[in-house]
Amino acid sequence: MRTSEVLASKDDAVTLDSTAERTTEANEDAGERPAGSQVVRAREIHYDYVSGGGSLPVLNGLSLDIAESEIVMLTGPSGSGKTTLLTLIGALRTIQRGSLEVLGKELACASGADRLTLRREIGFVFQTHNLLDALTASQNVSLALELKSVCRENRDKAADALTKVGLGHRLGHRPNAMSIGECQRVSIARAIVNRPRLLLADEPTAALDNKSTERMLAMFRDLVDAEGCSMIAVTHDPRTMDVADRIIAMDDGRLHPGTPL
Amino acid sequence: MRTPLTWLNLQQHKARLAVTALGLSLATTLLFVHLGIFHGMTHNAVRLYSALDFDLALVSSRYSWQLEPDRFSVRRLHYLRRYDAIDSVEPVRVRSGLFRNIQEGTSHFTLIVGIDPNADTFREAELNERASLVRDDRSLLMDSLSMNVYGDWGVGSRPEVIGQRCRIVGDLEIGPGIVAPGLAVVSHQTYDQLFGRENVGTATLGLIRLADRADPERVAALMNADLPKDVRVLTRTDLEHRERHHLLFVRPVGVIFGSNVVIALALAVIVIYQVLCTEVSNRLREFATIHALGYSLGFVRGVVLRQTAFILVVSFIPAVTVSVLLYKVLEEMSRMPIVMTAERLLFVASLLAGTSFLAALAATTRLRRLEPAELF
Ligand SMILES: Nc1ncnc2c1ncn2[C@@H]1O[C@H](COP(=O)(O)OP(=O)(O)OP(=O)(O)O)[C@@H](O)[C@H]1O
Ligand SMILES: [Mg+2]
Repeated sequence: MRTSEVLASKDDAVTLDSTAERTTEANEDAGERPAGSQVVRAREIHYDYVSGGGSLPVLNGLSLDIAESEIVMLTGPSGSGKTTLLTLIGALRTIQRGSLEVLGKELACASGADRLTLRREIGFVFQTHNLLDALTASQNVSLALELKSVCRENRDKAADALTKVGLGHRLGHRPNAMSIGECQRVSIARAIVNRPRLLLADEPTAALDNKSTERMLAMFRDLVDAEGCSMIAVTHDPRTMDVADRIIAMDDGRLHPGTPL
Repeated sequence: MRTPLTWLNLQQHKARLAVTALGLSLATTLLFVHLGIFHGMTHNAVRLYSALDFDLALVSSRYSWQLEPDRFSVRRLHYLRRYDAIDSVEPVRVRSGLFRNIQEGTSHFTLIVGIDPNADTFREAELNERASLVRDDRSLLMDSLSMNVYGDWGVGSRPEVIGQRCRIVGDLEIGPGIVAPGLAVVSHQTYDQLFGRENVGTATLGLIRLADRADPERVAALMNADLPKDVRVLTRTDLEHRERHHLLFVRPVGVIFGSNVVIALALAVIVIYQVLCTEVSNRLREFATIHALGYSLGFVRGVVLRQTAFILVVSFIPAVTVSVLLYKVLEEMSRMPIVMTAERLLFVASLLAGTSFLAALAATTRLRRLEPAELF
């Protein structure tokens, strides 16, 4: 365990092992870090879902910093706005108020094209795998590679990424011939294959057994340590907390009061 | 090499693709067949008039259509000779009469065209030459395109027409049209013998040929101002238009086939739109995924359009092939000119392409609405 905070939310208390090893650099200077080393810088962001006549406020002035080479786990009760925050950081939605800088790009006023460009620098692991049914595992991963360049090496790169997630022997299989856990691992391979600077994951280990979970977590840690990328993962899975540099609890559209910025 | 997404999508569900293409093919074939019949019918409606040589036509004011023309005095026609713009005039009489199939004892209507065998009534020299054969009383020329309802006839046969024994002296090719299953050409004299003396000195259609450079519209207007109210002069365009209009909007057969064309058109458009929309909406989530990963909406639209274009092409080619074959069969059966024209190919192709483009556009609009954010 890399954090010592005891995080509690209204409904459920996530009590973390306070005797665990403490790595606090991330916590202590989060707010004052020079802009260059920050991957995400959110200030007072607001987001309301508007549907029908009413509007549902989900994020209410949330501020947050994520540094390079940091793994942050996002927890909190259902409906607290974790996924919403992830989609805002991933440039899949636009914030309505406040300032949100991701990989040096201010998203509050970014154009569609800018957001598209930014998304290419981000690896997405969705809650459901969202693989393309007609494509093999290898082709699904290649499709992400082709966003950067179309070349002969893509096939090998895709195979490498799939080997990393333990599916080197399933390159030619289509999603419907694989288990949900395997599909989820293909989608992880797809997310990491472009060496993204930021990895966003929503419950990445929900469909995985213990062994696969360990493997994925180790891989995430390696990736972050070796490439200096950052990762934000929404999770309720206690198994994942071990690799976290920081655990953030969300409640009611804000960070839990006990959470450092 | 880029992952061939369009192609992989298409061939993932081969059976579904085949059913889709088959559905589109059938809708397209149906449209082609109805358009072909419709075109054949409208063409057929003026087949006799197309064969006759005239720039303007004099008809009774009570003229309704080919088979209900009402008659007028030929004096009205000869009166027009005084106009400088007129080269020549020629009275023609058209009426239907019963023709007995001697072998089977059944009677069938025939369009009987009365002409002067010494005059050039038709546009084609070949027809005029044939027409000169009917000089003898009760001799007639049969249209070889007549339906097979008149029994075995040939040169020398002596069929019974309106209760009178006649003799076939030859055949010619005009096309009977849809008004009657057959057509026969006789001399004015024979016409009077068949239909009675009261027809002497009358015509149902006055052919007027203009001198070179005369403007038909202007001359017609001039004559109509001059002529008594019981007759009127129509240009060829007017007459043919009236004939088609009568067929399409007054005759039941025309109304039926006209509405068939409208139904086939609507059906083709709806089937194509529906089929393509379904095809796209099945993959909407996947398209949203690749957009979330960083592919532009333009890229996604390209995939949708290529998929659509492929399905269109593989359903259009067999549809055209089958339609051309069906046209041959229908032409043989109906004796109507039913042929594939470049215009029709182009019309149907652009209709389908336009519809598919709209379907693809509608699909991508839905794509825009399905936020990639919903994927999490
Ligand atoms: N598209 C939407 N339209 C309207 N309301 C929405 C929409 N998406 C989410 N919400 C609402 O916003 C709130 C926050 O949703 P969000 O998905 O961010 O929560 P979450 O913390 O990820 O929850 P969970 O742990 O259950 O996944 C919820 O109350 C949800 O019902
Ligand atoms: Mg969620």
